[in-house]
Amino acid sequence: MALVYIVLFRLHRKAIDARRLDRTWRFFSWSVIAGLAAGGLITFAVMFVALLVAIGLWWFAIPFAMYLFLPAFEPLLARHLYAPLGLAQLAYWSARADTTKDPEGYALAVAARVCAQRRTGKAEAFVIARRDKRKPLGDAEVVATAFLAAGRGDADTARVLLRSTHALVEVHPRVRELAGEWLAVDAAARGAWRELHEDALATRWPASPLTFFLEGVAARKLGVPHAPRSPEMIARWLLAPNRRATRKLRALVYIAPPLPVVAVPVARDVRGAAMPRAVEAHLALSGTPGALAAAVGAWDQALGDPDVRAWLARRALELDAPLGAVERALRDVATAVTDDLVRAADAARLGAPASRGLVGDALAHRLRHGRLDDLEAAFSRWEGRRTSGQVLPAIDEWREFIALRTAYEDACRAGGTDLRRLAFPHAYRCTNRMAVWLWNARDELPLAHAMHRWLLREALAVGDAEAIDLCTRNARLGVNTRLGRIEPDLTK
Amino acid sequence: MADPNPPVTPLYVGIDLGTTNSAAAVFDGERVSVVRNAQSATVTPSVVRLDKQGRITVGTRARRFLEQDPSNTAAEFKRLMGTGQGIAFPAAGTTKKPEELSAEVLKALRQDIFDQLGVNIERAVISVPALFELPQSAATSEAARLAGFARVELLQEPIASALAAGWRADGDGAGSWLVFDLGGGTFDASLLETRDGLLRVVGHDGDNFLGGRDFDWAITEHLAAQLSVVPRRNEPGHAGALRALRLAAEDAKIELSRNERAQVTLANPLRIDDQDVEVDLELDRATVERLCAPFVDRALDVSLRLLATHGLGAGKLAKVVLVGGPTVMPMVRARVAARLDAALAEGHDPMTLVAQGAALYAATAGLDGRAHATAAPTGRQIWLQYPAVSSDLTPHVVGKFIGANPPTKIRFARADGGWTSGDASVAPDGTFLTSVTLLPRRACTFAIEATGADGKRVETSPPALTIVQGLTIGDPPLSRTLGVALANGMVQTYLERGAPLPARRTFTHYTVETIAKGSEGSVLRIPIVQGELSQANLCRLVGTLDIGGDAVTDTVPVGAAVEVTIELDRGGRLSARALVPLIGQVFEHVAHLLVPDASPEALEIAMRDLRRQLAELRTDAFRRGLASVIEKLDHVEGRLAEAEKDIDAAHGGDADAAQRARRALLDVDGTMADADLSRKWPQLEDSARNTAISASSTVGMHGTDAERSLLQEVLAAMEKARRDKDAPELERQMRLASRLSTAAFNRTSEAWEWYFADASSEIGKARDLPKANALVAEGKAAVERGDTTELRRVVKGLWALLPEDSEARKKGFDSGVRS
Amino acid sequence: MTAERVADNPFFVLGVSPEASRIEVEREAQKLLGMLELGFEAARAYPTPLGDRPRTAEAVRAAVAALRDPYQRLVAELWARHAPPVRGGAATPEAAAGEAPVVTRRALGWCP
Repeated sequence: MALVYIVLFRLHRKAIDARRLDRTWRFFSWSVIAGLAAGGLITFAVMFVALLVAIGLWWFAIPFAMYLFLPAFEPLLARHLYAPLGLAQLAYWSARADTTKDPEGYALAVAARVCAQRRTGKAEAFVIARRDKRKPLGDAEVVATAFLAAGRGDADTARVLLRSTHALVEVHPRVRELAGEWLAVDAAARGAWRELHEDALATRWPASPLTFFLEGVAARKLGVPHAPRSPEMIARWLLAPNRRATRKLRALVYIAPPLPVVAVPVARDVRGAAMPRAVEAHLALSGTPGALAAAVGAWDQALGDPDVRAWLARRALELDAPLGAVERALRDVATAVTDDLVRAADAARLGAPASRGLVGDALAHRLRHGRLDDLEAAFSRWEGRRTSGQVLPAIDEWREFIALRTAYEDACRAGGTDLRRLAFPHAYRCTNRMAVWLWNARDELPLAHAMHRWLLREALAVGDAEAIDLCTRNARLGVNTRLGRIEPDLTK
Repeated sequence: MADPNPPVTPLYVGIDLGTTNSAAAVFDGERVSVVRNAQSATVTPSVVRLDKQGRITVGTRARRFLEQDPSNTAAEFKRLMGTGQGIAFPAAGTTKKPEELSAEVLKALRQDIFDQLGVNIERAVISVPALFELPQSAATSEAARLAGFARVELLQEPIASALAAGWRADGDGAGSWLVFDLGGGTFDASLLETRDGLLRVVGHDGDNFLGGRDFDWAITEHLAAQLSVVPRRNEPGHAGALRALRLAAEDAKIELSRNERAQVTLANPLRIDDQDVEVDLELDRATVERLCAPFVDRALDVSLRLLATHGLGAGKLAKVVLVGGPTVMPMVRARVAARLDAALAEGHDPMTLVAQGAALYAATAGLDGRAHATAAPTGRQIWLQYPAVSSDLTPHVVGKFIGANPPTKIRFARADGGWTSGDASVAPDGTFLTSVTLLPRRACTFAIEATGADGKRVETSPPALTIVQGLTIGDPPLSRTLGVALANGMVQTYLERGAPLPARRTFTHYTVETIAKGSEGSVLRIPIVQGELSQANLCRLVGTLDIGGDAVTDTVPVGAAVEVTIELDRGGRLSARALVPLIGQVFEHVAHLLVPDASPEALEIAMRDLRRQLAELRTDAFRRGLASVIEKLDHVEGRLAEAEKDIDAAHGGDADAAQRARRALLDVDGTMADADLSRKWPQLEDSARNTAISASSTVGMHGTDAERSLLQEVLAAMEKARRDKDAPELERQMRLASRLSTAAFNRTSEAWEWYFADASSEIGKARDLPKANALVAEGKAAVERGDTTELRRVVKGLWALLPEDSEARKKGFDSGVRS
Repeated sequence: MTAERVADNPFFVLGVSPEASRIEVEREAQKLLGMLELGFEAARAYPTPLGDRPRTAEAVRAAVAALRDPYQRLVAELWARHAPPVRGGAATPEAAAGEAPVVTRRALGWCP
């Protein structure tokens, strides 16, 4: 009897595990198998409990029933009962009863997921206490922290933290599935279909039925080739929870609205004075490279225009402005304009367009050197805090690292390979020291490993032979996690 | 803007709360008059005495006790405003804060106004030095509150002087004015401009610690040196004798303004070191002028610097207005007129000009001093908004009838009958907007005539309004730029100098470190600084806003946004707020709103430190023969000597000298940093050249196209930094150039051959010689084959065997510059 | 910030033309301050090339102070004279920020 149950249980688990990494028709097959297995489990459980009741052992049947039903029902309970009611502790303990490796990690994520939907102070404190007990920091703890942030309405932090787990070698598939689902829902809510679709293509996250459905919606919305067809979409929809909420999405998919055409502003050839054109380009400044280049070009032309200078000189005389007012005005306007352009370029993570002139030169200088300066200062401060003995909890060290990494990557994207090469040595020195320290002194192996891996990737990109050498050695070291020792595969 | 319901004859009050003397003036819309005190003098000494019974005496009567009972009589406490330093009165057994003593002076002036005019004053304008910092302004407002004023506005002294001088000027007297305000303790030079009846502050400069007091001390020391026993300032036991001598010197100085010679005689002999010393000395004008001339020159240097900053040379000024007691001296007047090459504005009383200007400003600000009689209003109530003083001949009057069914028409009739406005229609909500015509340089009263829908006249409350036509000035300007110091040592400016008050600005900053929840050690500090320079360390810290780990509800990660708002009210009171959107928390507590304390011990340590640095710099500069640096250092030497004297005096209990010394040291620090840079500069320039040459050749040979173009950019930036003498920028660019060349060099096979040659030349130092020899052999083979990978392995193996510094050698491209 | 550079121009805040004399500027500012103090509806917003902006007493004070200084006025004129024509009406929304979300986090059980 027990054997039958165990076989069914294993089958159910295997089917779900296999399904997570699949994005093809097999997803449905695995779902069917998992469903059948679950059905079997339930039938078995019902029969067994009925038997117990029949022989008068009904008091014995209650714990048994709970134990037997749980594997099949736990995710359902978490989604439809614990989360809406905010029962974090109950969610934790019922997930804890699970028998996968490191059930505590999964339980932590489930409890935090409850907080993401219905946040109470008590539940949050419970999750934090559980999280802080676990060392080293792994993906479950990062995901739990992200869900807590989401619960407080801080979706940006949650998104960044969840995405950061991709760099960690410790992989709890069920935890990652939750992370993937949150990210998919978040992307759908923001209408960031491109982002969702790219995640799907790269199979970054194990898919839950809801993720799978939303990914299908994304593909349809973007009108990519091989997007799932309508029957498949209906199947995905049926398989996913929250059907009422997603019905509208499905309906939209039928209509399949054409993609909005993104208008790329073209530098118009406006005849007339240079200054009005510059002001207009300034007001039209948006996050596109074209608009930035147009504004920079227009300003360089306007501020170098003899007519503008002549007008300024005349007005300065009429207004009785102090001596040197014309030069000062041109310089001040250039500074003010550059400030605006730097801000716009930073917000959209753009590089400096090529334009020679007061504004173009200043912008190029500020973007390149300002960003390098900021990066160096930030990395130094991070590393300096360690030497000054200000030790932060592992999760905060991780958050700091991912913030720095994002800043570094943004700057490199805007500045190109040259800037990347200039920025790398310092970032390398600081990060390497931090990673070694996290590894040796704090036993945060997964975090340290993630940092080494990142450094290796960057070292390869800039071709720093020494760094490649050292990082390869460091990144090759086996990482002990709660899921066992992981021998990293550097070819991935 | 005017008060909604002014009484028919408003009374505007201005108070000059000076370091040595204070004065009050009132303006009734037509005339400015100076208030006389019980002794019928126009100025009241800023001296407060507290006797055994705790009775308080202020003014001339208190000043008499400065000599007899100095420990219970306080003078010149204005300079300590905002320092939080208490002044002890041993007889009464209490300690009073400077603002409490200032409040006593203000109370006395308030009483004088009541005695003379029978009016109880609740609102006034109080003048403050132009370069007062926020804590000092805040203390002045506090003093006014303690003295029972319901509302005060602060006005910078030079604006007050110029307003008073300009008010009388004939016509529109357009042009630039310099207000040369040499007070008891402070010197302010302000450049102003009048045009179209508007007064504008173009700029000011000054020295917070230069004044008539310095004259007195110079004369006192001159006198003391002639005594049989010389009293010293650093000896607390000699303080009494010096004080007596100083009062005598002050009297002699005033006498010498009129006469060529003066006798300094004290009725009682001085007790110095238990000896009776008779004082009977003679002083002539030439000696006093010789003693005081350096101080006047210092003030004139400041003035000329101010003119130069605004593109004005001497001789371009329309008028110079002299303010302050010391400017009565003929020598000062002559010297100022000669060096600035400008006419002095005549016919003003330099002692009360500031108070008069403050009273005029009270009118501009609509700050009627009278306590309001709460008579029941008769007629329809109107809220009116109009300028109490207007330079414009046709200002707008805006108003609103209170309550439903307002009259439909309104008009204004000037009291002299020469002008009546047309009927302005009143909107259904009671609002109306019209303009009136003024007579130049007169106070004009307009009767308000409202007509109801039925065509009947409606009585209004108030029934009339008064507008004075004359010189005006806008909102009180901020005296020093206010900003937030950033992590990179720069300042983000929030409010520029001259920004009209009240003002508020918000900027978003980003955290540079994590504030961990619950961690007491992690504190995010937002320092609020005041000063005109962009480097934070050269500005003054006036407050800090702390976000502590123990206060945040959640960890704030690095890079989180913080919205900081800084707000100043009309009186210059500062409040700041930081909002962290991520956790939705607001932090508002501004700590540390004090001028920093200056204990003699701390000053001495700073002094020793500066002396040591100075000696080092000097030796070095001599060795290199850097004349310009030596000159700078000589100047520093002089300032240090002065500061040393002040520190001595501080040991003798002179808190004011301590503050002066602190500022002098801060100043010296800045000059030394400057001198240090001039010293280092040639060296830096040299290594920059070397870096440029070596980087150009390496990158030229081995670099990629991208690297070459990047190097061009870096070299251009280096050249620019060199031209601008921007040392930090130059160092950074050099680092970039070295990195580029190292990167280029490392990519070549020559690099590893070079490293190999370098390492094998040091093989004698290797820890394991046989192994090293084997590696060298392998390396040679690899060089022959041209196998870079193998060669790299060999070099690394060799480095592992060699002592540390050999490995460091490979970074030789980082030139010899230390960071 | 880019938009503020033009929308906060003192000439727009005060609603005067760049040719206005000093006295006209002062008169207008004084009138506006009075109207704001008494809560006149007409003074609460000012038209700019980017649509209406709210007007505050602080902004009026800052604007008039800026125009008193010949240098600052010169810079303000440089912007104001070369800006597109002012227009009333609501400010243009920032570049269409994507379509309205068709599904919310809450509906999918992922939001507090």
